[in-house]
Amino acid sequence: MDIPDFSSISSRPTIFEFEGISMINHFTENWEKVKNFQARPDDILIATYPKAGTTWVSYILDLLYFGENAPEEHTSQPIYMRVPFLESCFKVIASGTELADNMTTSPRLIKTHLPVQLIPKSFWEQNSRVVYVARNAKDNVVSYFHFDRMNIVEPDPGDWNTFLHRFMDGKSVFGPWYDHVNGYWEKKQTYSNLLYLFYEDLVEDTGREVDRLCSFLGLSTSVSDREKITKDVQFDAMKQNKMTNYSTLPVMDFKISPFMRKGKVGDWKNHFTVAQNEQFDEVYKEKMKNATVKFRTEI
Amino acid sequence: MEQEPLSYEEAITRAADAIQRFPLKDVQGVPLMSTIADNWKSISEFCPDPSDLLISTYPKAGTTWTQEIVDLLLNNGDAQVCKRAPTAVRIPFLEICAPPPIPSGLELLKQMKPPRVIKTHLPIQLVPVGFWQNKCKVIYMARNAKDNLVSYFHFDRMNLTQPEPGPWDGYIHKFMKGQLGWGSWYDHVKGYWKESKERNILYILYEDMKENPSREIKRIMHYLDLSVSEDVINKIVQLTSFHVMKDNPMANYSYIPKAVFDQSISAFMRKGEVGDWVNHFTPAQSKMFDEDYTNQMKDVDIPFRLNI
Repeated sequence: MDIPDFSSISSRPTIFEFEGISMINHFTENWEKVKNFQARPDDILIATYPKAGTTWVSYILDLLYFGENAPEEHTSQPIYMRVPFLESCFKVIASGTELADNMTTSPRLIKTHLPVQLIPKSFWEQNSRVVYVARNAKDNVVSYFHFDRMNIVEPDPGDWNTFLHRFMDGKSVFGPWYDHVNGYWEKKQTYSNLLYLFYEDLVEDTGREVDRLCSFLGLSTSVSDREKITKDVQFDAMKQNKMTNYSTLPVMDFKISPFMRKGKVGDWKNHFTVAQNEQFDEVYKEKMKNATVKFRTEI
Repeated sequence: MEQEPLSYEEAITRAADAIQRFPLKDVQGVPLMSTIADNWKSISEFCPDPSDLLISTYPKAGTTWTQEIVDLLLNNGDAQVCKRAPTAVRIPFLEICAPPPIPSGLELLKQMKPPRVIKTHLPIQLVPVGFWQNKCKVIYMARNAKDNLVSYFHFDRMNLTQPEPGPWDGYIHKFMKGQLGWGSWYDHVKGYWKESKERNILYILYEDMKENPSREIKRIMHYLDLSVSEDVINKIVQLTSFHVMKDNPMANYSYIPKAVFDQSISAFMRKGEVGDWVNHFTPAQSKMFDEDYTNQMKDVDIPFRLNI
């Protein structure tokens, strides 16, 4: 396995407005190709707001489809090569669209953090399947903060309070969390090929959610295989697994914070102050007043 | 030719090299600065005059505030008289012992004629018995645990004679276990509360003073058998407001050199608010603290308020 050379990326990117949301160059520089990406009917798009369980669901799907047929891939190819990140464009590694176009496996598993309105229209036209994972805002922002601290291809997060307010204002990369989770929730009402999962449900009962995925995808995976997959995708197993824990990416400084940090529900209680929590709840109530999607901040 | 005595400020400046974060030593189950513990015999034997007044608090519970109020009451609200010297000289800190040539609290008290106003952070069981034998008046100010803890944390960061506070989360646990200088907040506030009737201690709450300073200053005035006009009370309210005191060089400890109080880390007069704890405690810390608090305070009903 070749480790991509990211040494040319020495400084953190700056945020700018793009198509109505906050973005960075790494996700916009290949925009024409992203926008015009040709989806296939059997593609599975894994969509999430950043740090909401993307890698987790990617690995579950990867094991469901290819765990038996190509086991050697799982020990030699990191997840970010097996599940291309559609909008990514880091120059030193093939872009997401390029990786996806060159995939020989079927179905193609493709990951994105784009809000629903920016998803290439080809996915909807081809009636591709979409798996969306949503995580409660408080844990999501905590995870995103630690991720941005350790990842040099992300903007400098600043201190926790600054980052939190940026998130509340909807100025984080990939735009407002509120619009993101609501956008896909609304889409689900009109697009039947979208499965909406909750991170908290996955933590509470991974096996049950694997079953939901199987029935959505029409897979007849055996009970024993499902049980094995459920075991393999537990947080501690994935944290130890070099092919899923992103330890092969030099842009991430695990000494600051590991990519797989805690994977818990409710860790926000160790980060928010009481005042921040009250303020966040007020903003949340206002931003989500018309939303029908409901989240759990503890289980 | 006789040498002029050093000013308090000059003495501290000269002693700066000997300043360190002094470790805590156990005195009858209470952790005190080693310099205090090493001089415990002479401190415990201090014999006040019956006319002396003791102001007692747990650290960072409104000590300087109470000192300024009392000094102004005793001087009929004369701001200039109350700027005659820094707080620490006007109202000596009974148990404090620092490297020479800084005078100890006892040395400063020896130079003063009664009636004197004396400051202490000692828990009630360590207060020299002479105060009780001589029926001295005692004003005790208490502050809610969460704000007190926050204030103490920031103080320990900037006061380079106190033990290193370490990270916030660990500091909370030290506070809960009574491992900070002057011991357990819980025992401290409870000790004076339980004895307040018996020993004629005026027990004041920081939050009450913040909410209605005029009312609380009058309580102090009556306790001290003083009579000052409403105008003077209003003047004292103004002179002891947080912002005025923060700018008063005789009350804000700005004369203490950076080698002792590094106010670039945190100001001695930081916020002086009720409820700032919400900007420090996480919900998890708050929940854990509350559970422990309920247990430690179950034998008393002191009406502390976390906000006003």
